[in-house]
Amino acid sequence: MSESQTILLFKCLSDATRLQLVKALADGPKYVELLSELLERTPSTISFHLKKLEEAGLVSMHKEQYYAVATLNRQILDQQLFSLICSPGEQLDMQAEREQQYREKVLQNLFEYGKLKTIPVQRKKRRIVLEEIAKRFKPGRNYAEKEVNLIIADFHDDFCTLRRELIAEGIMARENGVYWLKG
Amino acid sequence: MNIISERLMPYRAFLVHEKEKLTRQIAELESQDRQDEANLTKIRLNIFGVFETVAAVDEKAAASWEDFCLRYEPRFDILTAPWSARLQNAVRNSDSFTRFTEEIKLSTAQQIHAEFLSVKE
Repeated sequence: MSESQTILLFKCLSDATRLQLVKALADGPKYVELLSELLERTPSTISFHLKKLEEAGLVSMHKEQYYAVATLNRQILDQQLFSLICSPGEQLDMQAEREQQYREKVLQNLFEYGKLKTIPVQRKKRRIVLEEIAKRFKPGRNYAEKEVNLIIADFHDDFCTLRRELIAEGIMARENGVYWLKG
Repeated sequence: MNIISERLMPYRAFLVHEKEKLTRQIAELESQDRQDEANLTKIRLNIFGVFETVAAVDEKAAASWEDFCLRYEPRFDILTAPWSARLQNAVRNSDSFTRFTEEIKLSTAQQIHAEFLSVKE
């Protein structure tokens, strides 16, 4: 488990309602309405907390007929606290971890539901955005300019700027109107 | 006290009462280490604040009770339109947290609107 995942886990558990939910799920899976009755919270509040627990990997959800059922993921909870904090064998590359966190934050801030909200001015951020867009292109495949435009337009209306930036940043190459991913 | 202020009195009292209630709830939730629920309650509190502020602005600008109603009531549609749009977007994209907060904002606005309608008549 990475440091950011561990932090997410502890943050998630530092809430009284979520701790109560974990306790309530300890003796078996339960559906949202039942948890709502047991904890005396509205079903939507329970769903909200279950989603948080699900994101931290503590709970998994599945549908049974009309009901959303929550199951506790005991694998994480059965671990010792120390092993969660200092995972054996894990070579924590702090720099890489920080880079990854920064990257995730930039993408989270600049993208909404897969759409790029704005083209960042800062080069480092722009590079991250371009690398994200480049994931849509298959390595080793050639693309016509029209195809490139269509793919980029899924992210942002200003596909011309982004297409040019992909070339300028060396992420893609172009020759005679044919584009491909570099590297 | 002018006629608008007079007619607005029960509505204002409702807003103040609800805000006090929510403030108490927030303090209670925070004392119980239920920070997320406290934050969601703060959203509700802010919505009450928004409609209270707008009412004060429209009251100053209005010449009569009817004029006030004509200015104030459309606010319930204008202010909630972006929230509805965000909610629809969140539902389309299975974004549970945004969906949850937008639903809270809209249901709070509906509650306030219902109260306004009762004093308007």
